[in-house]
Amino acid sequence: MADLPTARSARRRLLPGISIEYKLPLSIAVLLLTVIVVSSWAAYRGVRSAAFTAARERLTNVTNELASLLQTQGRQMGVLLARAAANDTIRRFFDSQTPQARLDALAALRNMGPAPEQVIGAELWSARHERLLTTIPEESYFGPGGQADNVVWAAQADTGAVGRIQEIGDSLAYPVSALVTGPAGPLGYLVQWRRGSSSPSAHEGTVAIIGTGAGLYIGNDRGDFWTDLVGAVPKPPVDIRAARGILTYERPDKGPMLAAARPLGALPWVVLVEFPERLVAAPVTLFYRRLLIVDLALVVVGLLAAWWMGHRIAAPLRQLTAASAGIAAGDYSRSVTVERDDEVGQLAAAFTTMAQRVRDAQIRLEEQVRERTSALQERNDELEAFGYSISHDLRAPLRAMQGFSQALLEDCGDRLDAMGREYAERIVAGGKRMDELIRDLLAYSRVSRAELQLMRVPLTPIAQSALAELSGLLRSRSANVRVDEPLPVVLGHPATLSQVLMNLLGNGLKFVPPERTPELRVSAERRNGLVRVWVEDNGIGIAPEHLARIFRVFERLHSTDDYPGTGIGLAIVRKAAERMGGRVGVESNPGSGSRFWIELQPAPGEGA
Amino acid sequence: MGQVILVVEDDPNDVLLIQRAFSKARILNPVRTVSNGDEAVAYVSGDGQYADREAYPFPVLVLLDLKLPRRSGLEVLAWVRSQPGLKRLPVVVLTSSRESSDINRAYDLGANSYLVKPVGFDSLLELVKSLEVYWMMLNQNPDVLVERDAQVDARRGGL
Repeated sequence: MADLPTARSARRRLLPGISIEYKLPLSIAVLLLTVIVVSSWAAYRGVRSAAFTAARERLTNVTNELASLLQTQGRQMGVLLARAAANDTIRRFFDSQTPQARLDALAALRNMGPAPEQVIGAELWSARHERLLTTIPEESYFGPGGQADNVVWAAQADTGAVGRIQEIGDSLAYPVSALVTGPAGPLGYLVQWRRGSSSPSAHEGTVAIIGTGAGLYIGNDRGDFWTDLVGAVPKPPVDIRAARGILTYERPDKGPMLAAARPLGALPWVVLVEFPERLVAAPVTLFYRRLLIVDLALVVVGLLAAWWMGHRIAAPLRQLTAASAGIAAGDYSRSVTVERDDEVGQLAAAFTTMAQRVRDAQIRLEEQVRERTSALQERNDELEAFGYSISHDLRAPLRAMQGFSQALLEDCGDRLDAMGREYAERIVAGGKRMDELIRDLLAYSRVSRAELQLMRVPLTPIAQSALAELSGLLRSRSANVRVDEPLPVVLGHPATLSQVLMNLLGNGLKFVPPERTPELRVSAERRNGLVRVWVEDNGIGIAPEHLARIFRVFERLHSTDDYPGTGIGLAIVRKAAERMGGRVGVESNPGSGSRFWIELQPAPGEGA
Repeated sequence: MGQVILVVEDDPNDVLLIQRAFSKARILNPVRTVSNGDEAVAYVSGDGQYADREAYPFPVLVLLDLKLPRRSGLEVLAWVRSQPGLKRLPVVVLTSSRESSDINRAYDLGANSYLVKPVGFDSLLELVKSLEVYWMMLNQNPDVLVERDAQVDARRGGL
């Protein structure tokens, strides 16, 4: 678990923020390339190996075929010569070497066998391997007594034998020998020299068998002489006699070669067929080039297909994202149109349904809020009507109580005794208190529910008007009032602020003991970005345990006899402060005075 | 007979107290009272019994309560201000409501003054005295009926 974040962050670093549209084709291209490289390599190796196997097989077959062909030809040549040796003219020459016999024998030698173009000439040799007679002209002759090395003296009377190839002047030659026998036994040898180089037509035939580009070499079994059937050639780079199966070697002019060699058995020859590896590899290379083109096309097609697929996935996703962002911003009008049956289409459909639901829920919610608001408004209106009712209906009987008890005192006072007058006075006082109570309750309910439009209010004139309202009361107590002008400008409601200051000042004044001269002070300070207005008095103060209660409605700490009041004044102050986004509080030293404060928002633009 | 003040007030106690205050203040102007909005409209337009202008003279000042049976004070005020022959009639609202909605509405409809009935009789006495000083002595009253009579004459002539 510990390395999970690392893995996640590592994954985040790979292709960061790249669209699926590009990520998918990239991944698929990488995958495709890997598959293609691996499979192409395997195919190349396979094709190459198959080509080489086929080439080796063909090489072996061709070599075997050629070998058996040459063997057959060799045997045929021997047999034909042996037949030619069984000639009376020749036998007669061996019996009596008269000039006539010599002439007859020469004529016989010249007319021997088919394909005279392959024959250089024929000779008759003695049993002691001496040349007796030859059709080959003196000037092109091999030399005195020479070139008998390659003649096979072990030739049989009926089969003859082929000898090794050798170079004679410009041309190649090999001897075919046959034993000439008389009734008494062997007489000597008939030796025919044949051309080793093939004619152009024969060469073409050979090429047809072994294939273009291939080389055919024939050498002596001793390995001392090699020919390509045109002329003498250098020995192959490997020792043919030691080699088995397929040979590989390098030719300086042709590069690496594949070769197969076969000894011919009856003939003292070795046949060697070689292919340049280049020729074997050429179709493989061609195949590989074609494969590369196909691979390239595959990659391009794959990239296009992957891009298309990525686009098919990414485009609706982008649409969904935009629509989601729209919903997050409160715009429900965006729809997602993806007309497809696959997962993306289902997602889009689900999203559209969800957006529809959210929109419906939103509309329902708004309707509910509207309903609740109108219900609340109705409630509020009822409350207002109630307050209105109180202000009218409760006051009327009150006025009657007051007016008529006073009228009683004034008009019929002479007919009342002291007790009657006192009762009437108590009715007047009770009415007065009830009037105050109704007035304060109405003020409280007004402050609680009225729509307070907050505006810039300079406090200095507000304080002045509040003091003017209270001037009678202040004069009656000979109060000293100090206002630390100028007071700041706050965000509030003028009439409510005036009421608040009046209530606080009236409250301060009320709780100064009669024997003390009231000292009131109004000041203001900035505190934590708010304006705090202080109203201080030198009254009786409030015990700490009562501090929390004094701002509640109808909370009174003293009897009305000691300090008259309704117990609503400070509750109005607190409610008013709250409605204007502020709060109230008090600090007090019991016995020496209280410091009430009200915190308000400063007017915008006023220095912080 | 002096200039009549019409008091539109439904509460008999208040009527009694206002009348007492008038007599205490030694105001000589006669006071006529009606107890609902329809009566008030009938009085100023001189309909029915109020056609007898000897007994019910056209008032120079109306003290109008707002909360009245049938037609409310504000409706009476609106009606008076809509009548060509009555629209200049000075109307002082005298009610127990301090609601700013009532105050603003009354001024919007053309009240000449808005006073709140005090609870104490002494305050009521002060208020009535002030009323007399201001409206009966200081204030210059407009011609209300001249135009009305001219209209009536014109109508008669037309017939």
